[in-house]
Amino acid sequence: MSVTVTGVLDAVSGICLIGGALLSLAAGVGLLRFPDLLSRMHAATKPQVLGLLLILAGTAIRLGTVVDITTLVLVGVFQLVTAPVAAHMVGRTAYRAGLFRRDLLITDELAGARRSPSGTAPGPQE
Amino acid sequence: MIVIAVVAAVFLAAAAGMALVRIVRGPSTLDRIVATDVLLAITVCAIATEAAYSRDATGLPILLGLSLLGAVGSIAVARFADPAAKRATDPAVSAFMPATDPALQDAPGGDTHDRHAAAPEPARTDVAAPEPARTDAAVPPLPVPVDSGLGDATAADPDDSPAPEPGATPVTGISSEPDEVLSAGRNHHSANGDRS
Repeated sequence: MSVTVTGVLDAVSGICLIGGALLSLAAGVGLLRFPDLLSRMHAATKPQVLGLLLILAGTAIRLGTVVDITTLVLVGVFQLVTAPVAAHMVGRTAYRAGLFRRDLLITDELAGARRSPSGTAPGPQE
Repeated sequence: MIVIAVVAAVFLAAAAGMALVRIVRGPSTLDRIVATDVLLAITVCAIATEAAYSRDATGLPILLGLSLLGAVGSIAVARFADPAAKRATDPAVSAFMPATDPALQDAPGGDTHDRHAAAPEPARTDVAAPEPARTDAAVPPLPVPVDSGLGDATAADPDDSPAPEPGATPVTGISSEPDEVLSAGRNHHSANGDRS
């Protein structure tokens, strides 16, 4: 069987699609199995950034026209812009509300900053 | 290509199912928000996979809309589920806000401005022109770090304020049911160094 350009491109596209789907599956398993909100947020970033970019790359290789590739690049750029904003807001609210397991933290760099108005502990930010 | 499409569809369906289980089980609202974001990302991946399988670009504008507006819902819910934001709109606590945060005191129903702005823009200072005199008469100046990213969090921290709620407990608006994650975090509050 002769190796054509279309066959090679389809193989690369398929690898990208399978990789992105695997990252989405890993995020699903992480959402179910991880113990608290911050670690679930860690798992949630997988299909939001790398998995989505892999699948968009696979789709761009497979479609191949300039208009479609432009649309896919825009989708990736918008996702890269909006996903950190949402994650920042969720993480900030989670820390303020105490919705995380403190025993799972290796270090809490914001602990000193939260206590600093009463003057007990100067945090690492000062 | 059909094999690749079937395998990717199975993976994406399994991931979407697990995200749905997390949405149902919770335990807090923020867990559901994170799972909803993941479900949206999986939806975008699935539509792109379908476009790649059928070589049909019809679904690509849907992806554009989803990736633009997908984060708006989680940002809004996370913003208004913030316990510090609730305290900021409370008039009993607003006297203890620092004078460099006029946006916390003018906005009646929860502001959407950037409260971390170190240099306030001129329009906002015009609105809040009579404000520093009132705060000077009300409270002595507080030693608040204005420039740090958590400036309003430290200012709104109720350790030295007469807010009725203590610091770690204003989660009644957040969690809809007593969850095991919160209670586990409280019980192991002193076991910080067991993983180091």
